[in-house]
Amino acid sequence: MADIREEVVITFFSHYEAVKAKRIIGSGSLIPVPRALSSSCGTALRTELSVFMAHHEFDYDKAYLKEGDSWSVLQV
Amino acid sequence: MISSFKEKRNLAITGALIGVVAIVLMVLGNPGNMGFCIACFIRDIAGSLSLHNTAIVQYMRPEIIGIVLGAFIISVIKGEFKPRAGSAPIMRFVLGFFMMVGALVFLGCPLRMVLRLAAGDMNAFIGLLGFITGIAIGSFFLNNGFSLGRAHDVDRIEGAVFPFINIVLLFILLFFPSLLKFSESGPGSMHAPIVISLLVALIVGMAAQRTRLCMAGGIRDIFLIKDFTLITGFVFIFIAALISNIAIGNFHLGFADQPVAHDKHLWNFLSMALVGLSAAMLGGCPLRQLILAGEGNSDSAVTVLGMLIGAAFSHNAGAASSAGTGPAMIGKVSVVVGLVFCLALAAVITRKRSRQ
Repeated sequence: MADIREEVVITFFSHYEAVKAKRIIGSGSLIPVPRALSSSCGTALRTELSVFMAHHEFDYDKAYLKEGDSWSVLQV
Repeated sequence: MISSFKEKRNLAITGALIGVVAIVLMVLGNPGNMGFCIACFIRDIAGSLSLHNTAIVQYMRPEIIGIVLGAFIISVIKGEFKPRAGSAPIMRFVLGFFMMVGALVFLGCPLRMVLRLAAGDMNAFIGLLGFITGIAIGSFFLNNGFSLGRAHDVDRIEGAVFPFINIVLLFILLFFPSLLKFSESGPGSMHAPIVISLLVALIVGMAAQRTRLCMAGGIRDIFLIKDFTLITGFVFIFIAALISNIAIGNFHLGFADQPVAHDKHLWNFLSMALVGLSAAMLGGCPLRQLILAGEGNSDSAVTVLGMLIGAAFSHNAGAASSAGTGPAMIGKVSVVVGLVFCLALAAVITRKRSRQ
Protein backbone atom coordinates (compact mmCIF):
# COMPACT_ATOMS: atom_id res chain seq x y z
CA MET A 1 0.00 0.00 0.00
CA ALA A 2 1.49 3.32 -1.04
CA ASP A 3 2.04 6.08 1.44
CA ILE A 4 -1.00 8.37 1.12
CA ARG A 5 1.38 11.33 0.78
CA GLU A 6 2.67 9.85 -2.45
CA GLU A 7 -0.69 9.72 -4.15
CA VAL A 8 -0.95 11.62 -7.42
CA VAL A 9 -4.06 12.38 -9.48
CA ILE A 10 -3.50 13.40 -13.09
CA THR A 11 -6.16 15.21 -15.14
CA PHE A 12 -6.43 15.19 -18.92
CA PHE A 13 -8.08 17.03 -21.78
CA SER A 14 -9.91 13.88 -22.92
CA HIS A 15 -10.83 10.44 -21.62
CA TYR A 16 -8.66 8.79 -24.26
CA GLU A 17 -5.56 10.63 -23.04
CA ALA A 18 -6.21 9.12 -19.61
CA VAL A 19 -6.57 5.66 -21.15
CA LYS A 20 -3.30 6.07 -23.05
CA ALA A 21 -1.46 7.36 -19.96
CA LYS A 22 -2.61 4.34 -17.95
CA ARG A 23 -1.26 2.07 -20.69
CA ILE A 24 2.08 3.90 -20.65
CA ILE A 25 2.66 3.76 -16.91
CA GLY A 26 1.23 0.26 -16.65
CA SER A 27 -0.47 0.80 -13.31
CA GLY A 28 -2.85 3.13 -11.46
CA SER A 29 -6.59 3.44 -11.76
CA LEU A 30 -8.95 5.58 -13.81
CA ILE A 31 -11.30 7.63 -11.63
CA PRO A 32 -13.70 10.56 -12.08
CA VAL A 33 -11.90 13.86 -11.64
CA PRO A 34 -12.28 14.58 -7.90
CA ARG A 35 -14.67 17.48 -7.30
CA ALA A 36 -12.06 19.17 -5.14
CA LEU A 37 -9.82 19.51 -8.19
CA SER A 38 -12.22 20.66 -10.88
CA SER A 39 -15.82 21.41 -11.79
CA SER A 40 -15.40 19.36 -14.98
CA CYS A 41 -16.48 15.74 -14.94
CA GLY A 42 -13.82 13.97 -16.96
CA THR A 43 -11.56 11.02 -16.27
CA ALA A 44 -8.43 11.24 -14.14
CA LEU A 45 -5.63 8.78 -13.42
CA ARG A 46 -4.64 8.01 -9.86
CA THR A 47 -1.20 6.59 -9.28
CA GLU A 48 1.84 6.80 -7.05
CA LEU A 49 4.24 9.72 -7.18
CA SER A 50 7.24 7.51 -7.97
CA VAL A 51 5.42 5.87 -10.88
CA PHE A 52 4.32 9.21 -12.28
CA MET A 53 7.80 10.71 -12.01
CA ALA A 54 9.24 7.76 -13.91
CA HIS A 55 6.66 7.86 -16.72
CA HIS A 56 5.32 11.40 -17.06
CA GLU A 57 6.22 11.84 -20.72
CA PHE A 58 2.61 11.81 -21.90
CA ASP A 59 0.00 14.48 -22.59
CA TYR A 60 -1.90 15.63 -19.54
CA ASP A 61 -3.50 18.75 -18.11
CA LYS A 62 -2.33 18.88 -14.49
CA ALA A 63 -0.90 16.52 -11.88
CA TYR A 64 -1.96 16.96 -8.27
CA LEU A 65 -0.13 15.65 -5.24
CA LYS A 66 -2.32 14.73 -2.30
CA GLU A 67 -1.05 16.19 0.95
CA GLY A 68 -3.30 15.15 3.80
CA ASP A 69 -6.76 16.44 2.91
CA SER A 70 -5.54 19.00 0.40
CA TRP A 71 -4.01 18.96 -3.04
CA SER A 72 -1.14 20.83 -4.60
CA VAL A 73 -0.28 21.15 -8.28
CA LEU A 74 2.80 19.11 -9.01
CA GLN A 75 5.44 21.01 -10.97
CA VAL A 76 7.46 18.62 -13.12
CA MET B 1 -11.32 6.77 -1.51
CA ILE B 2 -10.89 10.36 -2.70
CA SER B 3 -13.88 12.27 -1.33
CA SER B 4 -16.09 9.67 -2.97
CA PHE B 5 -18.52 9.42 -0.07
CA LYS B 6 -18.86 13.18 0.22
CA GLU B 7 -19.45 13.52 -3.53
CA LYS B 8 -22.05 10.75 -3.51
CA ARG B 9 -23.77 12.27 -0.48
CA ASN B 10 -23.97 15.70 -2.15
CA LEU B 11 -25.24 14.15 -5.38
CA ALA B 12 -27.86 12.23 -3.42
CA ILE B 13 -29.05 15.42 -1.70
CA THR B 14 -29.12 17.33 -5.00
CA GLY B 15 -30.92 14.49 -6.77
CA ALA B 16 -33.51 14.24 -4.00
CA LEU B 17 -33.98 18.02 -4.09
CA ILE B 18 -34.57 18.02 -7.84
CA GLY B 19 -36.92 15.03 -7.61
CA VAL B 20 -39.07 16.76 -4.99
CA VAL B 21 -39.11 20.27 -6.46
CA ALA B 22 -39.95 18.87 -9.90
CA ILE B 23 -43.15 17.43 -8.45
CA VAL B 24 -43.81 20.67 -6.55
CA LEU B 25 -43.50 22.67 -9.77
CA MET B 26 -45.89 20.26 -11.47
CA VAL B 27 -48.40 20.65 -8.64
CA LEU B 28 -48.03 24.43 -8.92
CA GLY B 29 -48.86 24.42 -12.61
CA ASN B 30 -46.16 22.90 -14.82
CA PRO B 31 -47.40 20.22 -17.30
CA GLY B 32 -47.79 16.56 -16.31
CA ASN B 33 -44.53 14.85 -15.34
CA MET B 34 -42.80 18.01 -16.56
CA GLY B 35 -41.72 19.77 -13.39
CA PHE B 36 -38.41 20.04 -15.14
CA CYS B 37 -37.65 19.24 -18.76
CA ILE B 38 -34.68 21.01 -20.26
CA ALA B 39 -35.57 20.07 -23.83
CA CYS B 40 -39.28 20.93 -23.51
CA PHE B 41 -38.51 24.22 -21.80
CA ILE B 42 -35.93 25.29 -24.40
CA ARG B 43 -38.55 24.33 -27.00
CA ASP B 44 -41.07 26.57 -25.22
CA ILE B 45 -38.54 29.42 -25.21
CA ALA B 46 -37.97 28.91 -28.95
CA GLY B 47 -41.72 29.30 -29.40
CA SER B 48 -41.89 32.33 -27.14
CA LEU B 49 -39.19 33.97 -29.29
CA SER B 50 -41.25 33.16 -32.43
CA LEU B 51 -38.63 30.73 -33.72
CA HIS B 52 -41.51 28.30 -34.27
CA ASN B 53 -45.24 28.81 -34.52
CA THR B 54 -46.67 25.85 -32.63
CA ALA B 55 -49.13 27.79 -30.51
CA ILE B 56 -49.40 25.28 -27.67
CA VAL B 57 -45.68 25.27 -26.73
CA GLN B 58 -44.68 28.90 -26.32
CA TYR B 59 -43.49 30.26 -22.97
CA MET B 60 -40.36 31.97 -21.64
CA ARG B 61 -39.56 29.30 -19.06
CA PRO B 62 -37.92 30.85 -15.98
CA GLU B 63 -36.54 27.42 -15.07
CA ILE B 64 -33.97 27.54 -17.89
CA ILE B 65 -32.97 31.10 -17.04
CA GLY B 66 -32.71 30.24 -13.35
CA ILE B 67 -30.55 27.16 -13.90
CA VAL B 68 -28.07 29.11 -16.04
CA LEU B 69 -27.95 32.05 -13.64
CA GLY B 70 -27.72 29.76 -10.61
CA ALA B 71 -24.67 28.05 -12.10
CA PHE B 72 -23.24 31.43 -13.09
CA ILE B 73 -23.65 32.97 -9.62
CA ILE B 74 -22.25 30.03 -7.68
CA SER B 75 -19.33 29.56 -10.06
CA VAL B 76 -18.39 33.23 -9.64
CA ILE B 77 -18.69 33.00 -5.85
CA LYS B 78 -16.60 29.83 -5.70
CA GLY B 79 -13.97 31.02 -8.16
CA GLU B 80 -14.96 28.43 -10.76
CA PHE B 81 -16.17 30.85 -13.41
CA LYS B 82 -13.52 29.99 -15.98
CA PRO B 83 -14.56 31.01 -19.50
CA ARG B 84 -13.39 28.54 -22.11
CA ALA B 85 -14.10 28.04 -25.80
CA GLY B 86 -12.80 26.54 -29.00
CA SER B 87 -13.68 22.86 -28.70
CA ALA B 88 -15.38 22.10 -32.03
CA PRO B 89 -18.17 24.71 -31.69
CA ILE B 90 -19.98 23.92 -34.94
CA MET B 91 -19.87 20.18 -34.34
CA ARG B 92 -21.30 20.85 -30.88
CA PHE B 93 -24.00 23.03 -32.42
CA VAL B 94 -25.06 20.19 -34.72
CA LEU B 95 -24.86 17.60 -31.93
CA GLY B 96 -27.01 19.88 -29.76
CA PHE B 97 -29.43 20.20 -32.66
CA PHE B 98 -29.81 16.43 -32.98
CA MET B 99 -29.92 15.95 -29.21
CA MET B 100 -32.98 18.18 -29.23
CA VAL B 101 -34.49 16.41 -32.25
CA GLY B 102 -34.22 13.11 -30.38
CA ALA B 103 -35.63 14.56 -27.16
CA LEU B 104 -38.65 16.02 -28.94
CA VAL B 105 -39.44 12.75 -30.68
CA PHE B 106 -39.31 11.02 -27.30
CA LEU B 107 -41.04 14.02 -25.66
CA GLY B 108 -38.53 14.80 -22.96
CA CYS B 109 -34.90 15.22 -22.05
CA PRO B 110 -33.16 12.62 -19.84
CA LEU B 111 -34.34 14.50 -16.73
CA ARG B 112 -37.97 14.32 -17.80
CA MET B 113 -37.41 10.68 -18.77
CA VAL B 114 -36.60 9.95 -15.13
CA LEU B 115 -39.56 12.04 -13.91
CA ARG B 116 -41.87 10.16 -16.31
CA LEU B 117 -40.49 6.84 -15.11
CA ALA B 118 -41.04 7.92 -11.51
CA ALA B 119 -44.69 8.53 -12.36
CA GLY B 120 -45.10 5.00 -13.73
CA ASP B 121 -44.79 5.90 -17.43
CA MET B 122 -43.26 2.72 -18.84
CA ASN B 123 -42.67 4.38 -22.21
CA ALA B 124 -39.88 6.17 -20.38
CA PHE B 125 -38.40 2.79 -19.48
CA ILE B 126 -38.11 2.03 -23.18
CA GLY B 127 -36.54 5.46 -23.57
CA LEU B 128 -34.11 4.67 -20.75
CA LEU B 129 -33.00 1.50 -22.53
CA GLY B 130 -32.35 3.55 -25.65
CA PHE B 131 -30.55 6.23 -23.63
CA ILE B 132 -28.26 3.63 -22.03
CA THR B 133 -27.61 2.07 -25.44
CA GLY B 134 -26.69 5.44 -26.93
CA ILE B 135 -24.30 6.19 -24.07
CA ALA B 136 -22.77 2.71 -24.38
CA ILE B 137 -22.06 3.36 -28.06
CA GLY B 138 -20.65 6.80 -27.23
CA SER B 139 -18.49 5.28 -24.50
CA PHE B 140 -17.07 2.79 -27.01
CA PHE B 141 -15.92 5.68 -29.18
CA LEU B 142 -14.58 7.62 -26.17
CA ASN B 143 -12.56 4.58 -25.10
CA ASN B 144 -11.08 4.31 -28.57
CA GLY B 145 -10.04 7.91 -29.11
CA PHE B 146 -13.11 10.08 -29.69
CA SER B 147 -12.78 13.65 -28.46
CA LEU B 148 -14.09 16.98 -29.65
CA GLY B 149 -10.74 18.52 -28.75
CA ARG B 150 -9.66 20.75 -25.93
CA ALA B 151 -11.08 24.16 -25.13
CA HIS B 152 -8.92 27.15 -24.30
CA ASP B 153 -9.20 29.95 -21.79
CA VAL B 154 -10.94 33.03 -23.14
CA ASP B 155 -11.77 36.47 -21.83
CA ARG B 156 -14.20 36.62 -18.90
CA ILE B 157 -16.46 38.88 -20.94
CA GLU B 158 -16.88 36.09 -23.51
CA GLY B 159 -17.97 33.70 -20.78
CA ALA B 160 -20.39 36.23 -19.28
CA VAL B 161 -22.31 36.81 -22.52
CA PHE B 162 -24.56 33.74 -22.27
CA PRO B 163 -25.57 34.38 -18.64
CA PHE B 164 -26.16 38.02 -19.64
CA ILE B 165 -28.47 36.90 -22.46
CA ASN B 166 -30.47 35.01 -19.84
CA ILE B 167 -30.69 38.13 -17.67
CA VAL B 168 -32.03 40.03 -20.69
CA LEU B 169 -34.61 37.30 -21.35
CA LEU B 170 -35.72 37.48 -17.71
CA PHE B 171 -35.97 41.27 -17.94
CA ILE B 172 -38.13 40.98 -21.04
CA LEU B 173 -40.33 38.33 -19.39
CA LEU B 174 -40.89 40.51 -16.32
CA PHE B 175 -41.18 43.95 -17.89
CA PHE B 176 -41.86 43.62 -21.62
CA PRO B 177 -43.83 40.36 -22.01
CA SER B 178 -45.63 41.76 -25.06
CA LEU B 179 -42.40 41.10 -27.00
CA LEU B 180 -42.89 37.38 -26.40
CA LYS B 181 -45.47 34.78 -27.40
CA PHE B 182 -47.38 32.85 -24.73
CA SER B 183 -49.53 29.76 -25.29
CA GLU B 184 -53.16 30.13 -24.36
CA SER B 185 -53.71 26.36 -24.25
CA GLY B 186 -51.63 23.19 -24.15
CA PRO B 187 -48.35 22.52 -22.29
CA GLY B 188 -46.99 26.01 -22.94
CA SER B 189 -49.89 27.57 -21.06
CA MET B 190 -49.24 25.43 -18.00
CA HIS B 191 -46.69 26.84 -15.63
CA ALA B 192 -45.89 27.46 -12.00
CA PRO B 193 -45.69 31.08 -10.79
CA ILE B 194 -42.70 32.83 -12.34
CA VAL B 195 -41.02 33.79 -9.07
CA ILE B 196 -41.26 30.28 -7.64
CA SER B 197 -39.97 28.69 -10.86
CA LEU B 198 -37.08 31.13 -10.94
CA LEU B 199 -36.08 30.67 -7.30
CA VAL B 200 -36.31 26.89 -7.49
CA ALA B 201 -34.23 26.87 -10.69
CA LEU B 202 -31.59 29.14 -9.18
CA ILE B 203 -31.16 26.66 -6.33
CA VAL B 204 -31.11 23.69 -8.72
CA GLY B 205 -28.56 25.45 -10.94
CA MET B 206 -26.31 26.11 -7.96
CA ALA B 207 -26.63 22.58 -6.60
CA ALA B 208 -26.05 20.99 -10.02
CA GLN B 209 -22.94 23.12 -10.54
CA ARG B 210 -21.52 22.17 -7.16
CA THR B 211 -22.16 18.46 -7.65
CA ARG B 212 -21.63 18.18 -11.44
CA LEU B 213 -24.93 16.30 -11.64
CA CYS B 214 -25.42 14.91 -15.14
CA MET B 215 -28.02 12.49 -16.39
CA ALA B 216 -25.65 11.05 -19.01
CA GLY B 217 -22.36 11.29 -17.10
CA GLY B 218 -23.36 8.76 -14.46
CA ILE B 219 -24.13 6.06 -17.00
CA ARG B 220 -21.04 6.99 -19.06
CA ASP B 221 -18.76 6.63 -16.03
CA ILE B 222 -20.13 3.15 -15.35
CA PHE B 223 -19.24 2.08 -18.89
CA LEU B 224 -15.90 3.90 -19.01
CA ILE B 225 -14.39 3.40 -15.57
CA LYS B 226 -16.93 1.33 -13.63
CA ASP B 227 -17.53 4.23 -11.24
CA PHE B 228 -20.91 4.78 -9.61
CA THR B 229 -20.44 8.29 -8.19
CA LEU B 230 -22.28 10.40 -10.76
CA ILE B 231 -25.14 7.93 -11.17
CA THR B 232 -26.09 8.68 -7.55
CA GLY B 233 -27.82 11.91 -8.57
CA PHE B 234 -29.81 10.14 -11.29
CA VAL B 235 -30.95 7.45 -8.85
CA PHE B 236 -32.01 9.88 -6.13
CA ILE B 237 -33.99 12.04 -8.55
CA PHE B 238 -35.94 8.88 -9.40
CA ILE B 239 -36.42 7.81 -5.78
CA ALA B 240 -37.51 11.27 -4.57
CA ALA B 241 -39.84 11.84 -7.52
CA LEU B 242 -41.29 8.32 -7.13
CA ILE B 243 -42.09 8.85 -3.45
CA SER B 244 -43.51 12.32 -4.17
CA ASN B 245 -45.67 11.03 -7.02
CA ILE B 246 -47.07 8.21 -4.90
CA ALA B 247 -47.75 10.70 -2.09
CA ILE B 248 -49.82 12.97 -4.33
CA GLY B 249 -51.52 10.17 -6.27
CA ASN B 250 -49.66 10.83 -9.51
CA PHE B 251 -48.25 7.31 -9.99
CA HIS B 252 -49.97 5.47 -12.86
CA LEU B 253 -48.06 2.39 -14.00
CA GLY B 254 -48.43 1.53 -17.68
CA PHE B 255 -47.85 2.54 -21.26
CA ALA B 256 -51.22 4.04 -22.19
CA ASP B 257 -52.66 7.47 -21.45
CA GLN B 258 -49.50 8.94 -19.94
CA PRO B 259 -49.28 12.76 -19.98
CA VAL B 260 -47.32 14.29 -22.88
CA ALA B 261 -46.05 10.91 -24.04
CA HIS B 262 -46.61 8.27 -26.72
CA ASP B 263 -46.25 4.50 -26.81
CA LYS B 264 -44.35 4.02 -30.08
CA HIS B 265 -41.67 1.81 -28.54
CA LEU B 266 -39.22 1.72 -31.44
CA TRP B 267 -39.16 5.50 -31.66
CA ASN B 268 -38.98 6.00 -27.91
CA PHE B 269 -35.94 3.72 -27.96
CA LEU B 270 -34.20 5.19 -31.02
CA SER B 271 -34.87 8.82 -30.13
CA MET B 272 -33.37 8.41 -26.67
CA ALA B 273 -30.48 6.42 -28.16
CA LEU B 274 -29.81 9.54 -30.23
CA VAL B 275 -29.98 11.69 -27.09
CA GLY B 276 -27.64 9.32 -25.23
CA LEU B 277 -25.12 9.10 -28.06
CA SER B 278 -25.02 12.85 -28.65
CA ALA B 279 -24.81 13.54 -24.90
CA ALA B 280 -21.86 11.14 -24.56
CA MET B 281 -20.12 12.84 -27.48
CA LEU B 282 -20.84 16.29 -26.03
CA GLY B 283 -19.71 15.33 -22.53
CA GLY B 284 -23.04 15.97 -20.86
CA CYS B 285 -26.83 15.91 -20.96
CA PRO B 286 -28.95 19.00 -21.72
CA LEU B 287 -29.01 20.00 -18.02
CA ARG B 288 -25.23 19.73 -17.83
CA GLN B 289 -24.86 21.88 -20.97
CA LEU B 290 -26.84 24.65 -19.24
CA ILE B 291 -24.65 24.39 -16.14
CA LEU B 292 -21.43 24.49 -18.14
CA ALA B 293 -22.73 27.44 -20.16
CA GLY B 294 -23.43 29.21 -16.85
CA GLU B 295 -19.83 28.51 -15.78
CA GLY B 296 -18.62 30.42 -18.82
CA ASN B 297 -18.13 27.54 -21.24
CA SER B 298 -18.94 29.03 -24.64
CA ASP B 299 -18.86 25.62 -26.33
CA SER B 300 -21.76 24.53 -24.15
CA ALA B 301 -23.53 27.82 -24.86
CA VAL B 302 -23.22 27.03 -28.57
CA THR B 303 -24.61 23.55 -27.83
CA VAL B 304 -27.63 25.15 -26.14
CA LEU B 305 -28.12 27.38 -29.18
CA GLY B 306 -28.01 24.24 -31.32
CA MET B 307 -30.71 22.80 -29.10
CA LEU B 308 -32.76 25.98 -29.49
CA ILE B 309 -32.57 25.82 -33.28
CA GLY B 310 -33.18 22.06 -33.15
CA ALA B 311 -36.40 22.77 -31.27
CA ALA B 312 -37.44 25.36 -33.82
CA PHE B 313 -36.73 22.92 -36.65
CA SER B 314 -38.57 20.09 -34.91
CA HIS B 315 -41.77 22.11 -34.63
CA ASN B 316 -41.57 23.99 -37.92
CA ALA B 317 -40.93 20.75 -39.82
CA GLY B 318 -43.36 18.68 -37.77
CA ALA B 319 -40.60 16.39 -36.53
CA ALA B 320 -41.59 16.68 -32.87
CA SER B 321 -43.91 13.92 -31.71
CA SER B 322 -47.53 14.56 -30.88
CA ALA B 323 -48.64 13.43 -27.46
CA GLY B 324 -50.53 10.17 -27.82
CA THR B 325 -49.91 9.59 -31.53
CA GLY B 326 -46.09 9.65 -31.65
CA PRO B 327 -43.76 10.88 -34.37
CA ALA B 328 -44.71 11.66 -37.96
CA MET B 329 -42.54 10.34 -40.81
CA ILE B 330 -40.36 13.47 -40.75
CA GLY B 331 -39.68 12.86 -37.05
CA LYS B 332 -38.64 9.27 -37.71
CA VAL B 333 -36.42 10.32 -40.61
CA SER B 334 -34.85 13.06 -38.48
CA VAL B 335 -33.95 10.57 -35.75
CA VAL B 336 -32.38 8.16 -38.25
CA VAL B 337 -30.45 10.98 -39.92
CA GLY B 338 -29.28 12.14 -36.48
CA LEU B 339 -28.09 8.68 -35.53
CA VAL B 340 -26.27 8.22 -38.85
CA PHE B 341 -24.65 11.65 -38.51
CA CYS B 342 -23.50 11.03 -34.93
CA LEU B 343 -22.16 7.56 -35.69
CA ALA B 344 -20.32 8.74 -38.80
CA LEU B 345 -18.84 11.74 -36.96
CA ALA B 346 -17.80 9.58 -34.02
CA ALA B 347 -16.24 6.97 -36.30
CA VAL B 348 -14.28 9.49 -38.37
CA ILE B 349 -12.94 11.42 -35.36
CA THR B 350 -12.16 8.23 -33.44
CA ARG B 351 -10.18 6.85 -36.37
CA LYS B 352 -8.26 10.10 -36.74
CA ARG B 353 -7.48 10.55 -33.03
CA SER B 354 -6.48 6.93 -32.47
CA ARG B 355 -3.78 7.32 -35.11
CA GLN B 356 -2.25 10.39 -33.45
